[in-house]
Amino acid sequence: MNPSDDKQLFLDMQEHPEKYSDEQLEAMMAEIDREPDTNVAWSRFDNKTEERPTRLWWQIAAALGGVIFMVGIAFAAIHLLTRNTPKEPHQSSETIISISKEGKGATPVVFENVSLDSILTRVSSYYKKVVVFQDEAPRQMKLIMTWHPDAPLTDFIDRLNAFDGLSLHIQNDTIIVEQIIEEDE
Amino acid sequence: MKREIIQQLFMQHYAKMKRVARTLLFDEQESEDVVSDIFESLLRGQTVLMPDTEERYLLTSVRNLCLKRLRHEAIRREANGQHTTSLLDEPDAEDDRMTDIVEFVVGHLSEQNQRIFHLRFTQGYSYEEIAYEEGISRVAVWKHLSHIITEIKKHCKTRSL
Repeated sequence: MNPSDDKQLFLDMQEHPEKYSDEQLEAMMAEIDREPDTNVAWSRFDNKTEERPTRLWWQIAAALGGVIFMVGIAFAAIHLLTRNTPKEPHQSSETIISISKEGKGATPVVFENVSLDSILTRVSSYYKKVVVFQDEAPRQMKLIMTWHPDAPLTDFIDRLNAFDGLSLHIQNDTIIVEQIIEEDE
Repeated sequence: MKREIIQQLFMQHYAKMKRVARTLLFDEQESEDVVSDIFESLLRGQTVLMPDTEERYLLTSVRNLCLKRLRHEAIRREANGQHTTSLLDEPDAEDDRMTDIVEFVVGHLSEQNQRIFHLRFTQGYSYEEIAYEEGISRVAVWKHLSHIITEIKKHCKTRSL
């Protein structure tokens, strides 16, 4: 018997231990309690998380991105206050496609009459993003839509942008939400 | 947290953490991922662990992450029939659910099962150690733990947790 290859057997033994002999249960316990090789496990972890030289460049890029982002926010604030000209559609300066490993084969999620705030809380945590609402009004917009966790975040954002009065874009690790106020021509 | 400190914690607690994860998930890779995720978040974050509570913190983190995975797995399995899930797992509700599971253990399991739950999932005892502590056979420990885990899963399902 090789219990490590058979999760189903483990689950069955857990749910119906009466179906198995003491020897079979003992073997399963021995498998679960066997001492792992901690040194090997540490090496794997250490390699996986080690700081690589390129990380510095990512940090510099992230810092620059942050500066550009702050300038962008300041500009947007001034732009909204003055309202001299109709808003132009926002364009994402960077497209980040991020699908977590848990997303493989993930089930679509249907949001029915769920506030944009709640939807984005759920979706952004999955893609490891933060959400910034530059205007408060869109927070409480109730939407009906389906989210496919296997699809890139940009697909979902594009679909949200189809709603009137709403503009979302991704800036580095941030999803920025704005309200579009339509002005008469 | 500094890598050297993480390494010390890792060497000291990895085996017990893996044991707790295996008890709930069984899957070797999944168990490894859970333990690794916890150390990685410590490495990237600012959490400071107190020497007298670090083991409890680490083992409780493993238990909670594993239960969360089991719950997500159950939701996915159920949703397969309908190809949808409801908005069940908003991140801010996770803590409440874990509190609820602990309350369930305290409120619904026998005193012996509570002790066994605590020994296995908070102190990382082996089946052998629990058997010795409780004065019962290892097979009896298996049956108690099976009952505990089945009840927790049932509770999660009933409450749609």
